[in-house]
Amino acid sequence: MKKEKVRRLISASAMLFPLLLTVAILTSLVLKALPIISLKSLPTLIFSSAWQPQKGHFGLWPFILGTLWVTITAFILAAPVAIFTSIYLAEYAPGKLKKILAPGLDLLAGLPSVIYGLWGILLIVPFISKYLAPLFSSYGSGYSILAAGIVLAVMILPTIINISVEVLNSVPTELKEAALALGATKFEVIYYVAMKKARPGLIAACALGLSRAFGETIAVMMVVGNVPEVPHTLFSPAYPLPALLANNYGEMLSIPGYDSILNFAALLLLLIVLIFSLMSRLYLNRLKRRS
Amino acid sequence: MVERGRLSLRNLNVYYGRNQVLKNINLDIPKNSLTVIIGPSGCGKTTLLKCFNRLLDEIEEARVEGQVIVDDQNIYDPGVEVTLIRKKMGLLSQRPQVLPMSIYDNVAFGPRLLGQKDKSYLNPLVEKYLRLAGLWEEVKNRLNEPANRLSIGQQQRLCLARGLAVEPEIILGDEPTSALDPQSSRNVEAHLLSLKTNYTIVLVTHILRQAKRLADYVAFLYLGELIEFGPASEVLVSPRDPRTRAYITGEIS
Repeated sequence: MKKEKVRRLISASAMLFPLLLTVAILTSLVLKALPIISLKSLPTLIFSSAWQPQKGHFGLWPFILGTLWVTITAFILAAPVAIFTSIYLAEYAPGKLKKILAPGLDLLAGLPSVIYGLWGILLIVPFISKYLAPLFSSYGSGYSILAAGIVLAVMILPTIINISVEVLNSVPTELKEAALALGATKFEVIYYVAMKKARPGLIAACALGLSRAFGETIAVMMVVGNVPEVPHTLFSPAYPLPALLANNYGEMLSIPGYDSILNFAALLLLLIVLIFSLMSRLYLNRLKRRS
Repeated sequence: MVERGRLSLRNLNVYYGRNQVLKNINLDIPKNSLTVIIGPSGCGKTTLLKCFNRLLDEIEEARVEGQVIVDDQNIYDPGVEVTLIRKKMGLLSQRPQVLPMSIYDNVAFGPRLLGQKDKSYLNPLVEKYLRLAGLWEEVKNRLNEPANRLSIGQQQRLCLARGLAVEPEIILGDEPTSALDPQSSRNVEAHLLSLKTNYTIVLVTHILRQAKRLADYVAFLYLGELIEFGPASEVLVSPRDPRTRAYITGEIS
């Protein structure tokens, strides 16, 4: 009996560790961000587009927009491709092909992000500046939201595909057979039955991909241009929050308020991701309750 | 004399990879009657049933030789529209598989696949087949609820109604009562019995008592071979083959 209690205590305290760590991170961010919040108002910090730290202007709006633009672009590019790929892999692909493709996807998911960034610089950026942007009468370096979006999309593809395939595979064969027996074609079974049954899981897969996209730093930083301006088109450069932090933290900390604003930016990023995953969790729960 | 049915098998062989699971089966299933396929587990009963509506197509390593003739047409002929074949048959599986949608939409699923969207056509149709499956009175006030809120016995009758709604000629059942409680089983059995005047019913079961209660004709499968086929009164009471006798007396199972 006593042994049982000790074991329980050990696992309970192990549980406490990540919990406390999260709280600690949040607290330190808040504490460090407080000076700038008390100096300027929250709306100014968030919605002002003026970013001139030397002059004391700390508007984070360009960075927030940069994060949103890049992430949403990546998501719009990746989600449909990922869903269709996973439908193919789960429903159509012959067994042999599946056996080759699954480890390939795992490999892609495990590549260091700096490699993706390099690939973006070598291929995507020149492609955009030379061929794609001129089609839309836009001339620039190619370092842009679109470049970051494409690189990021490729990075989150394996994540979404892996989970989606698993989710689709978990739809019972007998259920698909039941729909087939009613005279549905393969596609009708997938569309009306499998995808409907798998919908919460598919949404979860997309949400996971999206939250990975929010936080991805290195690869994005390498191709996005890092210009602190409010972006206007997909071909504009941008400066997402993670890039701001990675590029600047630890430097120029002699500028008053700079350390604090960066901590505030980190807090903001954390909150965006947190709110986002909370929302998708709530949505998932609602879906589950309904079915 | 057995009346020639709409459903016939000619020299049917089925392989899973190198493994032969059905061996040279010839069978004429009489129409408007209830035929039960019995046999020990692993003898190929379910595979045989899946040949009838070509669900075997979905199994990558399965290979079919021979003919399955439905309405004078070999359904394995190249060029046969498989969805049309499947619409001729309703399927009841071991566990009821309700589609992830409302009760109404489950029954309307088949007709809608045919392009039928008109509510004034679908409404009476849904009612008709829910009545035929004995479910209407229980669900008429909650047709728009998700189907998986029904009890498992109700779900199986919903699957029956859904299968009937595509207006098939044949009903296939793969141990359709095995997941149900005794009360629901009886209910489903009773509905199958009442349907056999208008439908050809083929039922797989491993419950001999169920075969005795329901069958007009019995086919006994053993290790992939059709050992015996005939009227239930003959096969179940005085089987000709010693293997059938052994199975019926419980010596092999």
